[in-house]
Amino acid sequence: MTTTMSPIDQYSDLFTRLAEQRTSDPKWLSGFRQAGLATFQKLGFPTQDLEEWRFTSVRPVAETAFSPAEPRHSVQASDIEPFLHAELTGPRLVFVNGRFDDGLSNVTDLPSGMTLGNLRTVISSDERFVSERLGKLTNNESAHFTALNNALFEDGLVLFVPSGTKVDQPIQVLFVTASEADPILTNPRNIFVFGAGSEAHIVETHVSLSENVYLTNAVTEVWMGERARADHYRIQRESESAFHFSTLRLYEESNSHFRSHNVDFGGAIVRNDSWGKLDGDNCEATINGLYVLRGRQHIDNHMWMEHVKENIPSHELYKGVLDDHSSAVFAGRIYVHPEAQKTDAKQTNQTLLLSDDARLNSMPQLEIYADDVKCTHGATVGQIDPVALFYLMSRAIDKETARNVLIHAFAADITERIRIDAVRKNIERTLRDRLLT
Amino acid sequence: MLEIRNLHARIADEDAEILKGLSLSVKAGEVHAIMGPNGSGKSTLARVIAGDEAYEVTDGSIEFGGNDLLEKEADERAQDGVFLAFQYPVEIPGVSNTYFLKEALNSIRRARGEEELSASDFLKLAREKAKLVELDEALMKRSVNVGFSGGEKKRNEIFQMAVLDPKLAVLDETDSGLDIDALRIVANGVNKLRDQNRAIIVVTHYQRLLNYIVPDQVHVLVDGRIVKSGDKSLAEHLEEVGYAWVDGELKSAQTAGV
Repeated sequence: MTTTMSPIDQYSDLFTRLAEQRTSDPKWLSGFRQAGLATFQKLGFPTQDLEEWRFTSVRPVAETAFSPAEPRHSVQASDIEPFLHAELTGPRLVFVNGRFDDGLSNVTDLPSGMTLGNLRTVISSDERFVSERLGKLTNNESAHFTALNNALFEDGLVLFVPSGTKVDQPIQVLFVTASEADPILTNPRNIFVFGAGSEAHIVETHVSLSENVYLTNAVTEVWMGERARADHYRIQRESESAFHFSTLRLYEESNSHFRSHNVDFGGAIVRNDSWGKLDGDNCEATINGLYVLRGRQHIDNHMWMEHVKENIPSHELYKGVLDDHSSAVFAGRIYVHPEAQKTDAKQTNQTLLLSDDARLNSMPQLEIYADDVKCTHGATVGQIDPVALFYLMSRAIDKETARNVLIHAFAADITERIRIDAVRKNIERTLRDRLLT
Repeated sequence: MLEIRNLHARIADEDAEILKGLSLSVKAGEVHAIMGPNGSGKSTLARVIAGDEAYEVTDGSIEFGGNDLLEKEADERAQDGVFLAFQYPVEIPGVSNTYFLKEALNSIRRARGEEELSASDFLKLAREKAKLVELDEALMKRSVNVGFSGGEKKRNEIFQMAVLDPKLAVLDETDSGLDIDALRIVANGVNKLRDQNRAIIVVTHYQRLLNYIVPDQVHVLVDGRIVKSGDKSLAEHLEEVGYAWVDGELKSAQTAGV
């Protein structure tokens, strides 16, 4: 029977099966999930006829029959150790196959008034906090994967930092997929709320314990109160057979600054959507990304920065290293409202092609309705500079090493902006290992 | 030490020859100056010796220490003791000068079967050599050549030469873009590196540098060939009469040859 189901029917079937486990859900949540399912049924998977999906085919995703992820408790601390930043001694939350694993996590000594936990627990303990925020920043009518997440999310991270609270130690979040042979799907759902003048840093890592096919479909909503500061690191090291979709929805009030760093090494098909609504005078947004692909990996980074108020800088710097037959899409749109005078927006995409078969489509776009603004965008594509290569080789450094040094140097623009030493070193090490294989 | 015979070379994938039968013999302990007008092939010669793949040797040979140099890649040549000080040193953001030079030195040491230097031994050596060209130690921590002034870049090249201790050093227009004080510092550094076991080839457009680095022999390169060789007085003579004189000499030589 299941073999003849259309892709969308499969998800309805999945939804019905899961609904039986979710009988304790509050009514508003059931309604939220139902609405998500209805939207997804209407939208289906995006096709390449849509402008926003022109260069990314999700057919392999649509054609895969995914099973819901079963909770797994067989993952040991030693399994995830290689993926943790041991130097980070602050709170740590581990999700296995989409569900919070209490045993592998460590959340103690939180500042007073702060919430840090998993979504399922917080729905029970502080239902109102979740109901007032869940889905409030997402645009459910046109976002296929967000609708799917709304319908099916299992669990995720909830963070609330009260006004004036500064969290010194970075918060470490690990999403581990420990899949069996059958493809599974997980839909992490995160909510970050930063009170006025608060500050915290989040290191979010996505990894797999196998090279299997599976789907991660994450949605994160972020509120930045006045003068809040936050650094968000998203390190994606999924299986290279996996599909990874992630959506970030950011809302900023005046004088706040959100810095996002996205590093992508894994995934067969990856799509990252970052949406920012910069809705307070003098707030600031920084969205940086590094992607390093090989084989037939494909990544699509889409971002929308909406400048609503005055005097707002936003910066996006994405750098990619593409080898073999890999391909990448960069699409950035900066939208400047008529009131958003003194906008200072900069969008840059630089790509290093290591192979003649690698492909890049770069589409930086500006839409400006204010007259006193500074907006720049630019895209460059290049190969390893032969003069620099010769310079290194003339200093006795062999070609392979010289090439790797230059790739590191190219990526350093991004890695040097990572302010947490342990994270920066981890990424540099991953990059080095990647180049040696 | 270096024996170049009838060398012909061009930019890879281009037809026009730049070096058209150049021969040159340099012994250990000697300093040779290669002078010539723009476009005569001076820099091409320097890069071909160092092994730049952008150039293709179509005829002739280069022997270094009795071995065929042309069959080796640039890194192997450097391991054998060839060093090129670049006319335009390359900026490498994200790679520290110290890391870069330590890698370079240890590659050479590995190739020679010597033990790699520890970080602290390397630093000691680097500090000592930095004094030769009065290089600010702060520059060693910075990314290779990034944000260096023109003079600092040239000094950095000679600093690298001092650390890597080559058998043959080719200095490609090391004087270009230097004011007189910087020129003196760089030249002093080179002079301190003169050694009976080391050969140095100074490639320059102007005689000025040769007032400070006094050569044993001077060669005039015109249109891909050495048309005149002599002692340091040849450089002084050239400075007085200009390269037009050499062109005239060349033409009469060619006429006589026919």
